[in-house]
Amino acid sequence: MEFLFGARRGQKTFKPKKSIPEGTHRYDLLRHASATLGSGADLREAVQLPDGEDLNEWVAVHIVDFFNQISMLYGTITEFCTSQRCPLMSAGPKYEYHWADGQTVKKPIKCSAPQYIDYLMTWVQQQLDDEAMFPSKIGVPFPKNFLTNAKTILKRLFRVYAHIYHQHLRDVIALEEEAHLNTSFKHFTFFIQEFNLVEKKELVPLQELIDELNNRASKAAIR
Amino acid sequence: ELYISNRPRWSAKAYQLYMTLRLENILKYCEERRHRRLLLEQELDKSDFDEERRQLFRQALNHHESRHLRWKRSRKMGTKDFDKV
Ligand SMILES: [Zn+2]
Repeated sequence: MEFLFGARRGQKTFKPKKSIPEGTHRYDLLRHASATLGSGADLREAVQLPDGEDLNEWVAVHIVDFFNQISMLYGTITEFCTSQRCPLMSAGPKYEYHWADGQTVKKPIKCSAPQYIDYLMTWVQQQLDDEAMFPSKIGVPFPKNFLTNAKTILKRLFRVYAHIYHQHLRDVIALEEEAHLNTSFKHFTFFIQEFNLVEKKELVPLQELIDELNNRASKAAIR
Repeated sequence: ELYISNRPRWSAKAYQLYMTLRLENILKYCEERRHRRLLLEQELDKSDFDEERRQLFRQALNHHESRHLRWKRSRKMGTKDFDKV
């Protein structure tokens, strides 16, 4: 059961580079990456496509899973993510997202983070409920454009993680759920990396954290 | 005008429990699926089936696994399976 309850919170495994000053957000982000549930190596293996499995089916089941994980995570911090505190959907000072779904909203609109996340999660839910895109009946094939659409969904879901890490890490730590967030994000990261589902440029807001999680998983695999 | 998300709210405890169980189930699924494949291969090794027949058995197991994934997904198990705290 150690993997379940062995959250490594408090272990001093973070050795900051001299260039990351203590007390900065970057420092916090990397220091708290050490808090995870279980070992990274296991999750890396768990996301691999099982022998003989259909890639679309594998991607679909993971998207539903990530949607649920993110939905629940965001549901714990809605009181902190208000239009007053988060007037823009951002991921740190350098990245700002404007909402457009390409269908009902074609021209990107500047909105607050909670508004953006509501748009985003509602849009993903609509995709998941679309029988033509995510067939639920046995034997019904996925559409030809399934993977393209899946990539868009994952790209957008990443933005919720990016916003939470950059704007709400302190709230997450106060709620003592950083190990759970890191585990969820690690699962997401390993999955998108395994099948190259999100472009590298989209991941830039959390690149340092992703590198850190990858490093830790590689070290855990060697041990 | 103050905007607060209309997404369902969850307590940190519910999320912590959810993620802990999710991780446990993800790893368990991976292990069990590998085990089922291993069992099939062991049974096939004991048999005198030719390669064509063995492939049919492997395909049958793959179909079964795939159908199970779709069933799990369409059940959309997730936040709805929890009571709000
Ligand atoms: Zn926010």
